[in-house]
Amino acid sequence: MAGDAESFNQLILRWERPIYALAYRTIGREEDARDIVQDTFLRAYRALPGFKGQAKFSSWLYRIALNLCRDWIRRQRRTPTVPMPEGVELSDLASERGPVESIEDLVARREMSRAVAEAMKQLPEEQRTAIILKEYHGLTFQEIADLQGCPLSTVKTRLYQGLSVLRRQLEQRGTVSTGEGRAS
Amino acid sequence: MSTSFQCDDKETLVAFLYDEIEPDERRQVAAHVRTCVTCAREIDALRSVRHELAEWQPPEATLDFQIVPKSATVLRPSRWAWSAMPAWAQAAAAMLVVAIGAGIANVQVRYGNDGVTITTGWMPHERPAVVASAPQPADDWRPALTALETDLRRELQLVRSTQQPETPVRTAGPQTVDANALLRRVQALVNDSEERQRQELALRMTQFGRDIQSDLVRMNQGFRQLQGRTIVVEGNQREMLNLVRRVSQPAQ
Repeated sequence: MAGDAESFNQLILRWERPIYALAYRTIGREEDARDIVQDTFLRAYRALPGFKGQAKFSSWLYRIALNLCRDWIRRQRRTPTVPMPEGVELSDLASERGPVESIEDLVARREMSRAVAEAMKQLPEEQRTAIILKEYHGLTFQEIADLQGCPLSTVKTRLYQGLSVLRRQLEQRGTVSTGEGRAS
Repeated sequence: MSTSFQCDDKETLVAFLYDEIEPDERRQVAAHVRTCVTCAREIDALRSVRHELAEWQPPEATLDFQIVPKSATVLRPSRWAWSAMPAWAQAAAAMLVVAIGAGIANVQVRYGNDGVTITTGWMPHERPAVVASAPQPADDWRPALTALETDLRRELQLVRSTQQPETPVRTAGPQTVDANALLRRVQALVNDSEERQRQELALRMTQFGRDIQSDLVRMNQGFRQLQGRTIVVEGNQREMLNLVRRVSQPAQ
């Protein structure tokens, strides 16, 4: 068992940040995202004997994490007040900023990040999840379809619809180009 | 694929956007985009959205999760170490600390004119103890009481034996009654002291457990505040450094 735990801890080390990023972008709450990461690995460890390797380990983890995120979202919907997504603070971006990046660039990035977070929050859960899995985790259409339990064509539709909504929202904020300037 | 790309085929457009498309289809879409302004603009706009999405990064978080083999529990080292501990373990830990504290706290058993008393505290005792003159560890007071009871019995036996030859008939009855009453009184005092000691230990244990929990919460809050301030200070320093760099650059 100790050997299993040690091996599993190596897997945690490899996957805790992607799972955290997935949870944070899905629910928008840092502390709750950390809780979901912990629950994900705990559940995975307990269910490890039943994991036969039919799917990739990462896909298995993603599925557990997404189920936990879905449970979290349902719980939030049942509560009278829905917490606002956490804003992106200057201090959060400070560590990401390059040594030569100006304050203007930093502020622009901050505004962009906040705008994207706000726009993503407006998407239906299925579209948001599809975009997150595709954009930030590089899953294939088929892998997303397997995780979401839907046909591959549905995944593409969700991606298209989600990106189109984001496009309109970001255009309204003036943070994305409209494509008008492209030569025919 | 024999048919050409149609403008309303959004699934293929998405596949083209993510480059997850068959080569033939990709060539057809690319050829279509060269002639269709609407589709070209849409692809450009969606690419722009994807570019903006890349700016959205989650905040840095300290994770360091680990599986602990013994309890098969994932623990977060700093934040959840106490709360993840089961209640019985917290109680046992508090009991252990209180027991050690009681040992350090100079627990003594004394016998005097006012009877047997069990005391704890840091103050030295003014009157020398008859049975246990030296400070007793927390677990030694029971043998001391037993020794006291034995001594009392021996003294009573001695008194009885010295008085019996003088008044063998008259003193036998009342003397026995007095000795038994005294023993009962001593036993009652011992029982009362034990009860008081148990209550005091329970009270201290409860209070100590609460103090530990509140201290841990405060420490955790302090660490988090300190971490947040450190990040803010780091950001401010970088901003200042950038400002200095910009100011120090010669005007173009």
